[in-house]
Amino acid sequence: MSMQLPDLNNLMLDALPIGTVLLSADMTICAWNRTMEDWTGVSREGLLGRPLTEAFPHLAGVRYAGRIQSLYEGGAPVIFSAQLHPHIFSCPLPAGCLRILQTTVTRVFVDESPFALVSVQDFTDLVLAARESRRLHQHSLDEIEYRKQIELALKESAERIRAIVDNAVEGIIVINGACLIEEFNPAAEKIFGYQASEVIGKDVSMLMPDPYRSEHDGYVSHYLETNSSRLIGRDRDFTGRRKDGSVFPLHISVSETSVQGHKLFVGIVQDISVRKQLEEHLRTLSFKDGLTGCNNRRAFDENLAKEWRRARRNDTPLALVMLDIDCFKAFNDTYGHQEGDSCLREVAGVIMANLKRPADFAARYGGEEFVLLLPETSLENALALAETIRLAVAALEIPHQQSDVAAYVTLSAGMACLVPGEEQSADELMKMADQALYAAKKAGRNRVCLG
Amino acid sequence: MTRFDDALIDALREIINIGVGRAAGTLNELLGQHIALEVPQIRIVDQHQLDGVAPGSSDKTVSMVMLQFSGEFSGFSTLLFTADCASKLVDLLVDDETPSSELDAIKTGTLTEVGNILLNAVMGSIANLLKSHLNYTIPRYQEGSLRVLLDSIWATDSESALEITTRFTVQSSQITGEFLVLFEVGSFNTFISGLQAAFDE
Repeated sequence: MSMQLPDLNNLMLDALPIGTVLLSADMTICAWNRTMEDWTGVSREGLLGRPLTEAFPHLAGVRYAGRIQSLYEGGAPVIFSAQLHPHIFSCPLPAGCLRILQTTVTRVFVDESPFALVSVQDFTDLVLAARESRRLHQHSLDEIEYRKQIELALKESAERIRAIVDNAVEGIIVINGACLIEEFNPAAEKIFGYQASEVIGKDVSMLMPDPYRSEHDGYVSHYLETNSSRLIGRDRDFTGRRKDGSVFPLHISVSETSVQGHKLFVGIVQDISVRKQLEEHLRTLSFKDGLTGCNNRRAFDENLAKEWRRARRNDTPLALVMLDIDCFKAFNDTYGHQEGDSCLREVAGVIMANLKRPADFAARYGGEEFVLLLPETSLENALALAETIRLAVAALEIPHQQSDVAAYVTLSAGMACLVPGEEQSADELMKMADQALYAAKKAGRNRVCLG
Repeated sequence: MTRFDDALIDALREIINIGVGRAAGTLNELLGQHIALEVPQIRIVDQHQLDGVAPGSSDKTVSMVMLQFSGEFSGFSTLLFTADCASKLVDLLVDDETPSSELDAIKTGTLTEVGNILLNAVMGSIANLLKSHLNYTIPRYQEGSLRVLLDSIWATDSESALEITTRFTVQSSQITGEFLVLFEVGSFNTFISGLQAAFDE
């Protein structure tokens, strides 16, 4: 049933901006409008009067021809959607790809004969826009997911750091550039006796005793101005102040960090009270004579140097007494070393019991030799003290059969007293006392001689 | 509804099942995968019963492909899906390089074609049975609340409607859609008497 359309209809179809094809009931191509010519590049001359499926074999079968066929039998219009049939006709675009088409086939009557009117719409832009919109949508979903994961990771990381800070043995105190406390961990709470809530936002100087308290602000502002610090990046012993006002030694190391442009100072704090006590104890031990409990020679040497300088500075007299147990070798030989030790302890006890002023100082200088250092003491007073001690030791009446002097233990003493002059040294005082002791021994022991 | 009417509807269901089966064949050929279609139930409902019409309550958003027909009897033939089912159906039917849960212009175009094939099969079966010649508009796609969509096509004094439940099985997923054939005033009686006449033959 090949038939030509009246010219008027052809003109109308050519005026349409959509592709239009008219098929007679036997699927012969009866019209192929200008838009179809433009899009497909195929002119109507070679198509008109030919069966559709001969010109376009891919349209044969149930998929296309079969569905269009039902129209002539009274069926409803047929849609070939852009997603399922994008290239029902091949319509190349200048860019090299094909137009995406959506096709609707409706039944029309021309001179009471049924025709299929194929309307081809260009959906390219619509499909590309939809794809872009899907891409953007997916992109934003991906981004949301990515952010969620980052937030989760940050939260985990923050929790981990929190756990480390909370469980640290050392106190961790973070302050900002204005010296205000921003972080105060449980170990710091234990060390200082404050709850974190009591110190957060307050000035860190509350944790320091005077005079550090007033100096600290100066440190920080000095550091911020000059970038040089006595504390940052270094470990240091310092003094802290607890909530109850008590003061204790602490070890602190401060580091500086910057969070989002804000300077923060992180202090790691240890309470070193126990360590300090131990150190003090060891120090004391190192200056003590293990047998008698009085100071040892090292302590004496340090003290002599110190008192000598002081006496020279103050222009005051310094007295030195050297004491020696008479015939002590014979005592040891007779009674044994245990008795000898016991004798030394008793003599030391007498000596220490007779020192009344805090500055007076006694030490075991050597085997059976003791020494007294008496600051701001006149010759007379020093002599009186030496004599008192000599008599007190004798009064102990510790038996000493082999003594040349008496039946009991006695002392000889040599003493010297000086107001230190510019050119003199402490050695001279020692020498004078030593010579005096020698003189006392030579003069028959159990006596005090002046140097 | 009399027992006689029930028998009539059962017979109609058989006829429509055959038509829908043919439509499934077309879809299979078109999409290159197996789609099973069946019509387990047909009911005659009136406007008040429409709230109960699957795929859901009247406020739910639905996707609707609609075909208007006129001739010896007139009305609207519609295919309804919930938005979820509609989107899922298109995704199952088409391998798209950028899947998306949103129904965009591309997806609704595909859905319209699927609806077109199915509605044509259902209406073709009915028209063939009744030897009626019907005219159709081009199928349209709409989405919105069921109540609003139906109000726009169902005049207040409309009569009963034919509710045809359809079950799609695609890649072992089951998706349910509803055909709803709404008749204009006077048309429903013509339809029923036409049916009776057709089966009496």
